[in-house]
Amino acid sequence: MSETGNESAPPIPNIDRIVHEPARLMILAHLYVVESADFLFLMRQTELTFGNLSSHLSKLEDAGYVSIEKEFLSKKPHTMLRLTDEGRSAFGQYRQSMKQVLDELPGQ
Amino acid sequence: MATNTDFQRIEKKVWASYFQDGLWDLFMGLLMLGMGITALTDERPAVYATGFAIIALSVLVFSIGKRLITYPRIGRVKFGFYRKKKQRKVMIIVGFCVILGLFGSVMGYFGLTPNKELPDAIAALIFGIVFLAIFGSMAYFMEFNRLYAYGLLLAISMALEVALDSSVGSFTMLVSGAITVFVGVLITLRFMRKYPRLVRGDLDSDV
Repeated sequence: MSETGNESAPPIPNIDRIVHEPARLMILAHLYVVESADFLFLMRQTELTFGNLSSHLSKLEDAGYVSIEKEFLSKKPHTMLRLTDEGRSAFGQYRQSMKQVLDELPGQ
Repeated sequence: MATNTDFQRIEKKVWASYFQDGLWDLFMGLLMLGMGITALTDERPAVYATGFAIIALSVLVFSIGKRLITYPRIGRVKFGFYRKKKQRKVMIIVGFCVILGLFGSVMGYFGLTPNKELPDAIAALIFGIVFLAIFGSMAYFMEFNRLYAYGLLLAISMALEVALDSSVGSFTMLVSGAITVFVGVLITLRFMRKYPRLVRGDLDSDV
């Protein structure tokens, strides 16, 4: 977020850019409301392409927000995704930060 | 900014996606067909066996359909605590409903009809209300609105079957079941067109 340059304005809270990206925000929102989901389910719900989803999930995994577990289901490889505790906390904190930013906007 | 309402909407959308496959409609339709066949005023064992077979088929179609049609197309999800609690309530109601259906069919086969002292109209009302309550509860906990309609059809059919000394109720159930199966097939076909199977190799690499 860019600075306003106004010295009297309240400080803008740090926005987690990992969460803030729209596609990743959508991924996190969907994982937030379930216990876990597989790759295909997430792809269908978010309507992201395979490559796009894969790329964003890698970033979220690197940040420690999502755990990716590969398993075999009826001898077929299967990928389950879930938010880590850190991911839930980061997402919750992001919501708070954004709420604060929006609440402090000057009225119309 | 995402509020709790937005999350509820997302969760509901995720939950509702599991009803796009038409399998619940097929299950209900086949259940009604099976119950309609067993309720026909016909004492041939083959008729009852056919009815039971169709009721069993309804469960098979549902479980196999989920594995072969739904999961390969939209994937799998494990819902959170709140939804799991509701699912457990639904499974209890479904289990009770299937047992009730089988029990009623067996009673009919052995001629063990409801209490003859109860006027037919009252017995019909009780049957109708019980079925409506069961399926209404399922529809409520599952947040699956079509189930209210199917429950109503089944309740009316059961009430007619008990109230009238003819095959009107059975035929009502058969027709309701046939219509519901037809609706289920249409929904399933639409679902399969909307979500074609992806090539397996696309899904599990490079993550």
